[in-house]
Amino acid sequence: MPPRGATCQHCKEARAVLSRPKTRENVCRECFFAAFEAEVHATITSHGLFKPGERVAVAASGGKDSTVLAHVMTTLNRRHNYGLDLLLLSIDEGISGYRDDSLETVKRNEAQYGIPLTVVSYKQLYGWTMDEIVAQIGNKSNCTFCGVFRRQALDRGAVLVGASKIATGHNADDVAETVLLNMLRGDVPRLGRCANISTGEDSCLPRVKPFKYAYEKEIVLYAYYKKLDYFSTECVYAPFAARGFARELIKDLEAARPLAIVDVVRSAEDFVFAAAAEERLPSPRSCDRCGYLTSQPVCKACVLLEGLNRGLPRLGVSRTRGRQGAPVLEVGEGEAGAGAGAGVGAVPRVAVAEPRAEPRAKEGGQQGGLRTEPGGAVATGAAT
Amino acid sequence: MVRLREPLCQSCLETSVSGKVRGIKSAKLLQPRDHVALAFSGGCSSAALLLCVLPMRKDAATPRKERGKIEFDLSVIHIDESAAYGISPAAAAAHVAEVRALAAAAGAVHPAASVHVVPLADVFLPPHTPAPAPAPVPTTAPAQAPLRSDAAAADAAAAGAGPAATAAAAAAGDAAGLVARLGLGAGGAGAEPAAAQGRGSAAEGCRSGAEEGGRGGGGIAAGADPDVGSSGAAEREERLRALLQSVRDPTGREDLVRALRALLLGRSAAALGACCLLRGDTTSALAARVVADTAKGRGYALAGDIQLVDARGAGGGQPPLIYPMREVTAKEAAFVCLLRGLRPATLPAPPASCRSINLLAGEFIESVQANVPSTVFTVLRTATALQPFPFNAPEAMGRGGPPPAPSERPRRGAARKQAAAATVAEAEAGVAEVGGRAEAVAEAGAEAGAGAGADEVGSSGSSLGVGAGRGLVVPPLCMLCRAPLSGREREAIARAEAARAATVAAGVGEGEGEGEGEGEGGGGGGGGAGGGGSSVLLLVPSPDPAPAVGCGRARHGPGG
Repeated sequence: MPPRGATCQHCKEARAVLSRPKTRENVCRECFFAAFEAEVHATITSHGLFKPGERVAVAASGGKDSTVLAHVMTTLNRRHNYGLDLLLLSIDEGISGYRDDSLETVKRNEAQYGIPLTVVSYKQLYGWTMDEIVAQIGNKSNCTFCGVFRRQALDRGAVLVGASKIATGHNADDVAETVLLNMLRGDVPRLGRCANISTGEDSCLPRVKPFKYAYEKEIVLYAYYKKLDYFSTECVYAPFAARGFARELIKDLEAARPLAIVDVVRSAEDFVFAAAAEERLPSPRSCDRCGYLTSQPVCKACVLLEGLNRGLPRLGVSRTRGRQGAPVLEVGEGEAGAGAGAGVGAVPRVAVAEPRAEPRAKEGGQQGGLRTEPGGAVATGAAT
Repeated sequence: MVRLREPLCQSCLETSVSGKVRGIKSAKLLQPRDHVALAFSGGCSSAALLLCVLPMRKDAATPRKERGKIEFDLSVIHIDESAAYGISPAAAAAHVAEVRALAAAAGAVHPAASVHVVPLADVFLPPHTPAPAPAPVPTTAPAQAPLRSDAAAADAAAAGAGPAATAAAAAAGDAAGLVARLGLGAGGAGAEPAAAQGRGSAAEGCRSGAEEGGRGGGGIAAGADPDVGSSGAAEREERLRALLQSVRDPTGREDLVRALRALLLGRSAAALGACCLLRGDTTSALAARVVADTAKGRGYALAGDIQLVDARGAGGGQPPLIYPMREVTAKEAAFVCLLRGLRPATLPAPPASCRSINLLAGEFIESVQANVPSTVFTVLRTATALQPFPFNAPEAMGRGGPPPAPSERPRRGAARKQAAAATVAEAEAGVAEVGGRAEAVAEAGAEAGAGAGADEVGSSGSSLGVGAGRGLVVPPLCMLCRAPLSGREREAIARAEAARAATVAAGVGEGEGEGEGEGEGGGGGGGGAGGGGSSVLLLVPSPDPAPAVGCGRARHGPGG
C-alpha cells in the first residue's frame, strides 16, 4: 500500500490509492486503469493480434481473467477502433458448485457488455461431465481430462459461432507457471510453444493471449476498482493439481522481484532450441476418429474418452501404449460408431463441422447450436 | 540412501561419483602435463570434486606410467568472501582456516596440490599478473595471511609490511620470470581495464569509475599503485563492502558477488598458469541455476551456463571452465563427504528476510526433488535441449577434437601475441571513450555502464575472438555477468548508443525515446519499468533514483 498522503506518480495530482504490483509505483485509480489498458493495447498492436473485421470469440468462464478480458476488449475495441466483432464463448464442464455459478456471471456479462453469448457443454460434446469423470477416475489427473476436453470444446464452439479467432484470458502468471511446469516435466516441444502469444496461426482458428504480460494481481485490482462482476472461487478439484507447486514459486518470485514473472515469460521467448531437438517435434495431422487437429493418429480427447467408456481410467494418462507398444487405439474401431448408433467411444461426428471445413454456414443466431443436432449417428452418454 | 529407494554402500557410491568425474579424462579434457585449477568453496560439492580428482593424479614418484592416472599439477583456489558478508575478521580467519583444513583432509597437500586463498576484494586489483611461485604455500601454517597472488610482486617492490610479504618475497623472485614466460603482462591486462571501468561505473554509477579506469590503465605501466599493498587490502575490502551495499536488490547483490567471484577465480587461475578451471557445480546446483536464470530473464544465455565446458573467457585470457560434477546430485556429493568424515566449511547464510531468487530456486528444486528424485536430471536435460554456444564445444578449449584446418589458424604462440597487441590497442582506444561514457552514464543514474561496457567488449570481444586464432568466435558478452547478449539486447544497445550520440544532455528525453523505441509488447508504453526484464536497462530513468544494480540485463523494481 502506498504511504498515506502519497501522490500518484503518473499524474502527480490525485492521491495514490494503490501500489502497482508490476512496478511498485504508487498510482491513483485513473492512472492505473490507463496504464493497464495502455499496456494491453500495446501488446495487441505490437504483436498484430487482430485484424479489422475479424470475429473474435472471447473465452469466458466468468472468472476474473475472462471478465476483465471481455471488459477491456470491449473498451479498447471502441476506443481504438479495432473493428472487431466480439462474442462470448463459455464452456460448461459440469462441475457443480463451481461452474453453474460462474455461468450465471457470464450471462450477466452478456447483458453488461452487449456481447452475444454461446454456451457449449462437455455433456453434449462428450457425454461426460467433470463430476462424472472424477467419480470414475478419482482425484488424480483431473486437470488432464478437463484441459484436453476444454480445448476442443472451445474450438468447436468457436466454429459454431463463426469466429475466426479465440482470445483467452491467460495472464503472465499463467504463462510463467506453464513454463516452469514444462521444464519440470521435461516437455521440450511445449516449452518452445507455451510462451507464444499466438498459437495455431497456421490453423484456421488461432488463439491469442492479449493478457500475456498482464499480472494476475493487476487484473484482480482492475476488476476490483472497476467493480466488475466476476466469480471468484477456485475449482473444486484444484488442490490436487501439480501446477500448485509452480504457482507458489511464482508468487515467491514476485515477492522477491516484481518483474520476475515477466522475466520468466521473456526467457521462454528467448529460448533457442538445438536443431536436434527441433527435428523431434511432431507434425500436425487430423484425428482419424473425429477429425480434430492432433499430432497423433487419434487425438487425445478420443483416447481419454475411450478410456472413460471402457472403464480404463488411466488410458491416455499413464497408459499411453497398448500391448507390446502398439498404439492404444486402433484406427478402425471408431468407424462402426458412425453408422448405426452404437459407438459411444468416439467423439460424435456431430453437425458441428470440424474446424478444418470452413463452417460459414453455421453463422450467428445459432445459440446453443449443438442442442439442435440433426438426427443420425449422434451418440451421447444418455444413450447408454 | 542417496536415491530414494536404492541403498548404496560407500565404495559403490564413491565409484559411481568418481566415475562420472573421470569422464573428463576419457573425453580428453584433461591431458598429461596440464596445470589444473579447482575452484574450492569449502562446500560438499567442491570437496567431493577434490576427493575425486586427486586420485586421478599420478604421483611423480615413479616415472612408470600408472594405470588410469595422469600427470598434472593441481592448484586449489578458494575465494574468501567473508568481507562481503560483514563477518568479523576473527571469524573470517577461522573460516579460512577451516577451509584449508578441509582441503588438507581431502588430500590437497604438497606435492599433490597447492592451495591458494584469495580474498574477494582482490578483484579490484589491476590484473597484471605477477603470479606466486609454482611452489605451493605450505598449508600447515593457518596463521599466515591469505596469499594475494596479484599483490605479491607489488608488495615486494614497495617493501610493504605485513605477513603476506614474507611469502610474497620468496615468490617475487620468480614472479617476474613467470610473467615474462606467460606473456600475460601487458596483453592479458589490456582487456581488463575496460572491465574495471565498466564494472566500476556500472556498479557505483558514479564518476570514480572513470577515474579508476584511468588509474587502472596507468597502473600497469607504473606499478607504483598506492592501492596495492597490505594497507590497500583494507581499502579494497571497504570498497567491496560499499559496492555491495549500494545494491538494494538482494538477488542483484548475490549475482554481483557471484560475478566478481567468477572473475577473480578466472584471473587467479590464469595467474597460476592453469589451463583449465574445474568447478564443483552439481546437477542440483545447475537445475537451480536453470530455474533462477529463467526467472531473471536470461533465457538466451542460459544454454551457455549449464554445459560441461565453458570457454568464453578465452578472449580475456581466462582458462576454460569444466563442470565434472554435472551429473552428480548434491545429495550424492554430501554423502561422499559425510562417509569420508569431511565436514563442509561454509559461511553463515544471510538472514531469511531477503530471500533472493537464487535461494527460492534452490529451495524449489529441492522440494520437488524430494518427491520426484529425477527432477534435477529432467530439468537439466530440458535445458540441454537448448542450443549451446560455440564456446561450449570441447574443441573450444583448444585441445582434443579434430585438428583445426591449418590455413585458418595461426600457431598458438603467435596468436597470443596478436591477441595481446589487439587488446592493448582496443583497450587504449576504449579507455578514453569509456571514460567519457561513464560520465554520461552517471547523469542518467542507471546501470548503463554494463551496457556501455558490454558494447565495448562486444567490439573488442569479436576481434579478440578471431584474433585468438583457435577459430573460436566469442559472441559479445555482458561486461559483468559474461552472458551472451541476445539479438534484442544488442539492438537495444545500438539504439541507445545512437540516441545518446544524438542527444547528449537530455537524460530523461532519451529515456522516453528508449521506452518507446523498445516497442516490446510487454507494456513498453508503461514507461521504464514496464519494459520487460531482459532488455538492457540503459537510460530509462527508474522512478527511484537509487541505482539498482546486478546484471545489466534484469531490471529491478524500485526499492528492495
